[in-house]
Amino acid sequence: MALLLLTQLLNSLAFGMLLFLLALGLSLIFGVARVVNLAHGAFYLLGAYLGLALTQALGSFWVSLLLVPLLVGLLGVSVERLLLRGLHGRELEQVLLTIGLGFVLADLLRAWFGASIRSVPPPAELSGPLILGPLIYPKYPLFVLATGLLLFLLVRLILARTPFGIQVRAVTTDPAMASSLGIRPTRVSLATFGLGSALAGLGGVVGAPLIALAPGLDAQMTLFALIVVVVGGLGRIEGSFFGALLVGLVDGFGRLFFPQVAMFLIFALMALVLALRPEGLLGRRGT
Amino acid sequence: MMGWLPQVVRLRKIHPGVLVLRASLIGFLLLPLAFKGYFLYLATEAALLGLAAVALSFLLGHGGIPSLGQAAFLGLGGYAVGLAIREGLPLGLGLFLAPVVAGAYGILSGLFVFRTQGIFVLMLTLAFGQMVYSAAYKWTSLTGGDDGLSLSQLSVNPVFLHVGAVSALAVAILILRHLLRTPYGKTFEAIRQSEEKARSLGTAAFWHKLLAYTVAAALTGLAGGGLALHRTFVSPHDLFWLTSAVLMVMVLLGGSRGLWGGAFGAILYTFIQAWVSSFTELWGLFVGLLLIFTVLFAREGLWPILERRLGGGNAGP
Repeated sequence: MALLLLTQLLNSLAFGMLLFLLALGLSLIFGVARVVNLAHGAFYLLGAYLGLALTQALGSFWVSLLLVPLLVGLLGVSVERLLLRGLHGRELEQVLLTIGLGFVLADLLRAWFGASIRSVPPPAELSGPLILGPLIYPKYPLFVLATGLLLFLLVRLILARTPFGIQVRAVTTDPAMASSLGIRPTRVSLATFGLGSALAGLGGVVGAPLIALAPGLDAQMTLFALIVVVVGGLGRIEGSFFGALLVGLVDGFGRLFFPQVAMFLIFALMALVLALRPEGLLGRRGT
Repeated sequence: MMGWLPQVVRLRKIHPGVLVLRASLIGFLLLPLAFKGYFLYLATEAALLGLAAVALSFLLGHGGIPSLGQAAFLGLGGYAVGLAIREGLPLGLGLFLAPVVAGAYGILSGLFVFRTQGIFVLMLTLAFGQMVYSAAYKWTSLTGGDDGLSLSQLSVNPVFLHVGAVSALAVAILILRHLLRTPYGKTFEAIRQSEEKARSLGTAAFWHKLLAYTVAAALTGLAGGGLALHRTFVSPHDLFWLTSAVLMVMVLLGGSRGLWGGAFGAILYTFIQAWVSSFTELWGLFVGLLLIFTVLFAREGLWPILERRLGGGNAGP
């Protein structure tokens, strides 16, 4: 029983890390550009399918792990530049546009890759179990866990120490003041959009061996990311991180103990947070 | 400061051209009664979706509530009617239950949704809407899951259904427009313009929004019940947020202010959809592109433009 619980704990944490990658991108983009990117799940799915195709074409998971975020990030940048910039300040229109974009992407992916469910094998180096005494656990989720943790620390460091990170935080806090101090909000917002989309694409590549690819996964991932953001709070990287872990744990253990109502436990968690702290567990008021 | 006064006076008197335009919208919906067949089928669909779109237009255009979970209310109404018929209850009771069930879920989810403001409302309505979608999918013993509920044994006279749908649409528009003229409606609009100001004047913004949300949910539920009778089928796929986005497209295409735009957008959409579905399967692609196009190029909506052009300048709200 203890082993089962430990296994499920690791599974939940790995899934939580995946959610963190998604929610982090969503939260960063919202903070800087004030756009809730509801195409985020579609970017994830695009990353996953692109990763699958590139891995097959080039024969290396690691190359696609590097290339796919770049490609999806480029797509994010062009979306910001070509479609969203013209609607600056119109929150609703921007959100609706990203929804439309998500539908377009998801449908094109379905047309291209087919509607069947695809399970992606992990790369050879990471397939197979790891034996730790009595616990036998597959290597791949541990890799996801490590990637998530690493990115959390890396993005934290970037936000805290680098000039770009400081600009991002400045624009998130007060765009007008940041702009009058010589930061160009448009440029920062473009870069953040690229970074956020790249994170979603990376999530797709990393997550594909964990969650089988199927049409409809995009909407599910968008929904999960939204719930994480509502639970954890927008505007702080810690909010996304701990929110994602919490949602991952509730989902994982919900599936284990109450398989029928697992999805509703997450909604219940969201409702509970809303009732007690509408700004999210680690959110700031007024963001 | 007093600039707004004459405008209020003008609102009272609607130009006859506008009235003719509105009457011809209803007339257009009644026209298929002479043709029957597929044209009538589409028109009934348009009228019922129009009812749902008008409800959303009330929320979005007048209350500034961007609800992206309307598909759930549509679906709840549909399942209410479908299950009532399966259990052998009379049809009238089913049609009564549809708005009640949807309205109840409106109150329940609204209690949480309106704890937040702005774009969060959109995210939360979406989340609570998707919750109903996954319930419809998972609760197979009740809803039939992926297979949906078939009501093929049912036979409602299509002419009767159509007249009912069009009159429900017309009555809903008139009632909601009247509601907007009452002190409640004025307060509701004031909250959209500046919630903080309205609150500081002592308005209970939360309850005003919750009431409007519930009314819209109940109307959408009624539309969903009608759609179940019309299509003789309830599918969980119609509860997916694609449907909510479709309603959003209708409202934006037609124009979110003034409620007539929602009905016009629904008619326009239904006929475009019937045309497009004759040559493509890529449904999401079409809806997505239409949504992007509408947002970029038709921000104000087409109906207000029509009312200005054909209705002689001054369109009422």
